[in-house]
Amino acid sequence: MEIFLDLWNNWTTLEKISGLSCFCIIFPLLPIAVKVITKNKPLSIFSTLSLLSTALFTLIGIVALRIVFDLEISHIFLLTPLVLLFVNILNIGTCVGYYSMHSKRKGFNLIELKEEYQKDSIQLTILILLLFLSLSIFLTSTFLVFIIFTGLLSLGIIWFNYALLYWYLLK
Amino acid sequence: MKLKPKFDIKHLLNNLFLIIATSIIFTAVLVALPLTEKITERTSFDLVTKENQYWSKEYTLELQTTDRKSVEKVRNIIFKRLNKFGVENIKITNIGKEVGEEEEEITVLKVFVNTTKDPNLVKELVANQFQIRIVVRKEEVDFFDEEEPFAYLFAENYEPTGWDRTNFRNIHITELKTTDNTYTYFAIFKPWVSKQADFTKLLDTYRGEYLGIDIDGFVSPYLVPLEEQKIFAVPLNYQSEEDVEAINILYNSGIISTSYSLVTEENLEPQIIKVNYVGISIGFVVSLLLTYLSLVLLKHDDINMVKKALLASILTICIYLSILKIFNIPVDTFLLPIVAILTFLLIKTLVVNLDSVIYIEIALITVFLIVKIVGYGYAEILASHLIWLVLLSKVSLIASEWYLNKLKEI
Repeated sequence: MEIFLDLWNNWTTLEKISGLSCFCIIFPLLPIAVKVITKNKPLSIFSTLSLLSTALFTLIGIVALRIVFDLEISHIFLLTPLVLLFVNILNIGTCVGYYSMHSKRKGFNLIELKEEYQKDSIQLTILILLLFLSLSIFLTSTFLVFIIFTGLLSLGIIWFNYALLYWYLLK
Repeated sequence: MKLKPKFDIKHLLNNLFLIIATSIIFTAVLVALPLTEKITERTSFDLVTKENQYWSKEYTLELQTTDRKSVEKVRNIIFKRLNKFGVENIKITNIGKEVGEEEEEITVLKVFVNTTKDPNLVKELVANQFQIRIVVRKEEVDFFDEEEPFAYLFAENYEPTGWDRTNFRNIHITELKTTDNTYTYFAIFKPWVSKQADFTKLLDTYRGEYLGIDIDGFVSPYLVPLEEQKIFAVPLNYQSEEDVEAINILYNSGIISTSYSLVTEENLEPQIIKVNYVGISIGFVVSLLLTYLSLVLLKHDDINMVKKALLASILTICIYLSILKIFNIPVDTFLLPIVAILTFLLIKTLVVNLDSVIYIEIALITVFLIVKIVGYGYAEILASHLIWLVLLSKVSLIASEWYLNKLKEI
């Protein structure tokens, strides 16, 4: 908690406003867009939970890096939320796209959506693993930590989303 | 029997376009490849990296106040100035209350910057309170005294008119034509609507006389023309665009009413994230080929989709790098791997999920536009790059599909 308080107190009001504005605009905007496109409330709630989990994963990850691994959190780690948001939009976007195209088809059910989502998640996982690993060979120090950290969190978010979809929509 | 030559113009044009497209692809790949600059000396294809331009400093400021709100206002305005100027990494820390040289209570601020921007201009943005007043010459001062040739410069030789920065909604900096047909930059003072009449009255009162713009104790004289004036345009002695940008920021980033001074400035080791650009390029080519090979071998994807995604990925990254190289756009090399990974992920996802293309593209562009407008530092820089890459990916995907279809037709 102290890390975040220190960070928060060291920020100027403008930095705080900037961070909060990003959070307050993007986080409601995406679930609203999902609701408008799919007209499905559970999917909209799923996207909200997924975005919140992204924020939570980032916070937990940074705390773990600082406390458990005693690593200094430099300015480059401010890019992690942006990368995670990108991955999350790809992940949610594929789900929303599939649902909006096929939901009115006869015989469509959520199991089909889950299977499609699983396929997409596997693909993203393969890509992320290969790309981040191949890059890591050529990196050192802080940037290497950043890439591994962001890569792992991206994978975590993809599979957390899958679990969320499974438990929330199908159970 | 007479042979009639078969001449298919459509086929010919198709082939011609295909050859042109292939040449463009090869050119983009060649320009984008690292070390292409070593092959030809005729044209420079160097990637302008920011690594060697970084410098880092810590400025110490002493504020003549201990009021928390006033201190926060100073922090905000300095941050706003540096952020608007494009300083990549800014940290402004309130060290706390201290006792000054004259036993008065002061507050100390440490301003840390790590940037590639002009050091002199960054210092100007940090060190200047930039308090603006419009003043009028004191009658008792002799401005033509040869013993004091610089009397016109000092604020103590002027009387306040009661007009300061708070009376103006904006100070617009623009290039205008002068009487000798050359162009120079002017600061146009735009008063609040409610103050416009009073300001016109002030200019009328001093027609043919000197007014002065007092900025932090130094005055720039301004001769009010004899004819009626609607605008108050003060010429600026700055020529470079970067100077003008800095002066515009100083004029329009808020009013600092607390007096402060720059006490020390300490040079620090710049914080640079060094990346082996050549190594990473090789790594990417290998990983890209491996990824797509594995997708083909695992029969996860249709071979046509793999081809399209691979070609679009190569095309996007190569065109992006070529643009950076040809237009000499400075770039942080550590952002390139991040940008490349995200582009590959995006293209692969878009190729496989045709149902989601429009949603993903609109969502990404909206989010990055928000980050670009509201964000700061490297997040803002990365967001700007990614907006262009999402658009470039779209064009590349369309071009790749067209190219592969045409290839099939041959």
